[in-house]
Amino acid sequence: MSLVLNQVRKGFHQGETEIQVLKGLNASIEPGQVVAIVGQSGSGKSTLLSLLAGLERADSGEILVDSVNLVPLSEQEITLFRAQNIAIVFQQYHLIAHLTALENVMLSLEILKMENPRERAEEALRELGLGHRLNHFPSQLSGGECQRVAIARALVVKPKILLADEPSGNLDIHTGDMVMDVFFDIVRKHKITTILVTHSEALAKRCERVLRLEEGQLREI
Amino acid sequence: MRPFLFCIILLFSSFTFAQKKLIVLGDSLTEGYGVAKEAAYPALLEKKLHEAGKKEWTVINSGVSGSTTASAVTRMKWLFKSKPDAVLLVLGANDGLRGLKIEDSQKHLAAAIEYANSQKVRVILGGLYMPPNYGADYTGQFKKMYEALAKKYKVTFIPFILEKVGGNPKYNLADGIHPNEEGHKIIAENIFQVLKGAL
Amino acid sequence: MLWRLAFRELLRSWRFGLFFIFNLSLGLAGFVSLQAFNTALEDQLRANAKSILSADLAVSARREITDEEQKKMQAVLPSGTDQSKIYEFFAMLSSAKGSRLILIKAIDKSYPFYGELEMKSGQIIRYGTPKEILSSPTAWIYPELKSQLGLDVGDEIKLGNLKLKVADLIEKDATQTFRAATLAPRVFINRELLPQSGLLQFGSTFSLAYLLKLPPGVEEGALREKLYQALPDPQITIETPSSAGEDSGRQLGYLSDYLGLVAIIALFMSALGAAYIYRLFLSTRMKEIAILRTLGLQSGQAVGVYILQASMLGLLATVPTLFFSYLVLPLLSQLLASFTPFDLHPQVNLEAFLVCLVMAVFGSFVVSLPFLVKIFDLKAAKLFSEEKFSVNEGARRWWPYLPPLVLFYFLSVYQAHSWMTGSLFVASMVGVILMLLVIGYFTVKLAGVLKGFRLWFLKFSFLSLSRRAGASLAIFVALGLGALLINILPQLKNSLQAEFQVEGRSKIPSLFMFDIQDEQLPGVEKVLEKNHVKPLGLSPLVRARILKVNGQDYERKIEAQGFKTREEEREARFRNRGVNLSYRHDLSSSENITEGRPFSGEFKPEQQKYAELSVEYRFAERMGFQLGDVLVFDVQGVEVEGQIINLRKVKWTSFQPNFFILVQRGVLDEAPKTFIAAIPFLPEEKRFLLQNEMAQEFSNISVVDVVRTVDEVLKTAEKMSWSLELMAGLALLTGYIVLFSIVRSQIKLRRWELNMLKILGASWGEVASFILAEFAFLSFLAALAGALLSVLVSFSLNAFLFESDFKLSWAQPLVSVFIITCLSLLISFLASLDIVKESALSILREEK
Repeated sequence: MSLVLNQVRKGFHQGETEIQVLKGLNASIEPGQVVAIVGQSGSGKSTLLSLLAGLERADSGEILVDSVNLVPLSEQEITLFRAQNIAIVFQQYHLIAHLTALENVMLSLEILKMENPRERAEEALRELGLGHRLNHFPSQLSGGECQRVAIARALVVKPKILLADEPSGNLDIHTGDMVMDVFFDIVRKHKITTILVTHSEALAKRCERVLRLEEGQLREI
Repeated sequence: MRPFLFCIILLFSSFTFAQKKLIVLGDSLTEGYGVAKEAAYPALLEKKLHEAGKKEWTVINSGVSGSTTASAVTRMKWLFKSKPDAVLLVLGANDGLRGLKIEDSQKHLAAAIEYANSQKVRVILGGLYMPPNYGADYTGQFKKMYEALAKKYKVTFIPFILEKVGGNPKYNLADGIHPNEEGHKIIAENIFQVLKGAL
Repeated sequence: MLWRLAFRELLRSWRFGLFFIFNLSLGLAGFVSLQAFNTALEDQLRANAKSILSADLAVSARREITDEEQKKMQAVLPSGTDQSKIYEFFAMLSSAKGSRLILIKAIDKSYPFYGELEMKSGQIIRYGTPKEILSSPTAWIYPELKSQLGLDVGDEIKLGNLKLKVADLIEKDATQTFRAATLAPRVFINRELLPQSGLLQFGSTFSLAYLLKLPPGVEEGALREKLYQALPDPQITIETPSSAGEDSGRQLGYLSDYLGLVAIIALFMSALGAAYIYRLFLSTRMKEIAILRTLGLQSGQAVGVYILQASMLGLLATVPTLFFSYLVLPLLSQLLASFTPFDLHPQVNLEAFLVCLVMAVFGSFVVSLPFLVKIFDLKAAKLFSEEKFSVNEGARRWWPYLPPLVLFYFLSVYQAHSWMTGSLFVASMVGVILMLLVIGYFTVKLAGVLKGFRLWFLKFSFLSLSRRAGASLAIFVALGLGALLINILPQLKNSLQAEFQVEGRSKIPSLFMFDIQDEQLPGVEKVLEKNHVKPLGLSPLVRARILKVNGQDYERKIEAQGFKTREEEREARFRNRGVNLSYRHDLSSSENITEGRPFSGEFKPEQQKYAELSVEYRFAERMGFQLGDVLVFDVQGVEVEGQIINLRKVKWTSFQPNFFILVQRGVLDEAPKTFIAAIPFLPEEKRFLLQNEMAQEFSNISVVDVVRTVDEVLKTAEKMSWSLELMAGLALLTGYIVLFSIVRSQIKLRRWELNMLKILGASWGEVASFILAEFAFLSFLAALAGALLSVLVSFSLNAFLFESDFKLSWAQPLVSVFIITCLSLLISFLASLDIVKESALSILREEK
């Protein structure tokens, strides 16, 4: 699935003053591409991700996912669109505390009414090396394991686009590397268009393409 | 237990062996409203009679609270089955307190005396006064009623059985109407003074 | 520093603060308005009782009060006491139109301190109204004298030596008398004229009463005790509005107990709301507390911060509450005045507001103490693992439950003005909470067992219920308790109302005829038949004395030194008074058996050893009679033995003659007796005709017109009934409001999860169904459990406090279950709408 950004603007009100975070972004991402977006803290990476996920709305411009413009969609339409096309991995994992690893993954399958949720969830978790932790609660899992569950949850529904926000940000280097290894393996295997937001140059280098967000503009590196 | 009827016949028949019987036919004053049965004046009167040597006399309390002179004849018919020798008639207080017509009360009492006479039961008439708050007209007529009856039928007459008791808070209950234990003692004495010579 | 921390955090999370304040003030507003109505009602009932006594306190006797007693009495009375002295006595009234027994009420200028007389001329006589009878030789008479003797305004009447002109007729007189009320119509005259009348002298029977109007702030009950000590003679009685009036007084007592319950329930409802919301507040703050801990804050200090915060929020919550009570209450009372017989002016008094303040500022955290102490268990290390914090971990402690229990115990006793009611209530609440916990535990377990749903949201809904066991249990108990509290008052109302209910005017007597002789009975029946009147009842009356109970002497003889105490004397006089026996085949419709079996029929001398007796339960209680006791009577010289086979209750509003002891038929039928006839309601005209005809034919039979009394009592009964209705209704309303705020808070806690579902692609319908399924299950079962338990609790409260028949009504609790379920669903539905409308990110950021 391709992703095209056309003059995307987003600003925030802080008291009297308006701060322009994104000042007319332009970018075009090919289907199946794994793209890293880097930038300093406060450069607007998370804002951009929220716009792509449809969690926030751009002030102007177009966000075209396979020629569907997300910007004018209603909250309900965007929710539906996201469900069918986009998956997100958060830095804080955001797992549901009272559900086991397996149930957390099954949940997203069941929400989308996919076939054989249990088998597929188990398979996804095994793929991420969690076959032995299926019935553990998030509180019983380590950070790396939680993130892998979160990745499994995102990927199990076979999204067209995967948005990842510092997926290794909360993990130590070793664990982070291990989680990201699995991550890259899978997105490449399934040819999922992936936007990876990170401030780690090392992680960015593992992607096919790196864009830098600076002064409200996206620049190719 | 037997039904009332059978019981009463048994009781009455046993009485036929007793020597002499005085029935006190009255209202709450006689019943001893508020005092124990033994403290009411009929019981005290019997004691006094016995102490005075008249041991053959039994006094039966037939006081019914709230009763009026209208009940006198019916009750006599019932009570006379036990063949009493004398009846002390102390009714009329409720008639007066309820402001009933004095002629009617007088008629009822007269009928009672006549019935007793017809049954050869001696009548002793206990008189009563109405409290002054009923007005001089009414209380005067009320008093005269007993005097007239006593005169007409020539019965033994106690003009005012509540003599020294009526109106004195010392001898009455808090209601100001019914005598207390001390009051009953004085009433018994009032009656005894008349009866000791008469019986 | 604690202040600054607390304050700063409040400012930062002002949205939550507002939410907390909103919900808390809803609960508090319910509490104060319930309290305000309660006080207003109590005041009005007290004023009613006062107007019957027409004083704060009445010292009465059937003799003159001696100078010495006068002095003693005056010494005890507080300065500023206003006095009125009245005499009441029977007398014969004579006039050109005839004479009749009347009750003279000789009054002075202060009469009546309370209450009023409505005159035919339209004048209303109140405290301070100039009275014609005091300024000229006139009198006021009851209208019966007009109908019976033809007396009217301007006619001359003679009372002893006194000649007076009739100045006016008294249409309505709510005041009581100190003598037999219904025997004769009243005539009001000037007390100063009494010496002139010559009616009061040695031997006169009269009642004298000093009516007292006390300066404000004097407690009647305490003064009554002091007066009793100063005036030890048992012939003197001292009455307060609450001690006066027998049957209606008892009902009034029930009502005030009920209102006490209303007050506690209001308190519990608002505490429940406050505790629940505060608990949620704490659970959202656990992460901050952990952070503060890592920054060097002691656990104790952290607790301090949250106590301060809660207190500040509580204090702020009283502001909207006050606004509400000053703006909405007057409107509400106006609305009510349009369809109830009351003109209530509910006002939040200082007392209610203080209790509300205590509740708001201290109540919420004292109640949450069990959760607050969890701060000590908090593992700050969790911050590193980015785990969720919750209040449901750490060791189980029992002691934190003690302070709220003690606080509530004392508040309950204070609110109910009764140790008994308060204790009983708190005990049953503790029991009920434990039961709800058990039921809730199994409900949550059940939710975990329910599997195999095809729809994911159903499956995850039940999963979520059972996995979040702590939170589910908390809301289960809160909803259950709410349903219970909501239902108690209406349930009790039904039972109490039955006491006041009247079967219709046609079943209530308007005339009583007594002293009907045996031989007069056919004649009386003929007269009634001729007038097409069917008596409601014709009861034989046989005088008897109780001699022995189970072989023990029943009557009390006076000791040589007299009776030791006033109570002892009163008891002896009561026992020695004799009893009126009656007999019937079975009980009347206004009576029902509380214990034992009905009569077996006619007495069978061959089979029965004792005659069967039915005893009125209050009489039995007073005398200590039990089922199976054997009583020996002296029926005018004949001994009759009987055994108690049942205790029976007589409905007060039926106005049927109440016999303490009924004997089965076939025992007393031949004994000397008289009859009492109760005549149903007749129009005034017909009543007078019948009365006159009876008087002419049977001079000894007294006919008493009770219409006036019945009307007064019915009016009171109607008011009481309405009070019950009103308070039950208000309690329902308050309860639903509190439940509303509880469910709302609970849903707020779930926003994150609902939002997550949305991010994962769930449609609005699915999000809504997810939360609806969960709340439908939980609130339905909780409300059902609460409603069912409420039947149990109201049954026992009814048995212990009110002794009335329990009227079980299933409709009320089931309707409440329905409403609570719908309410929860509606709130869940609205919340899910919010989630869909709101931006997902903001919720995600807001709180984890």
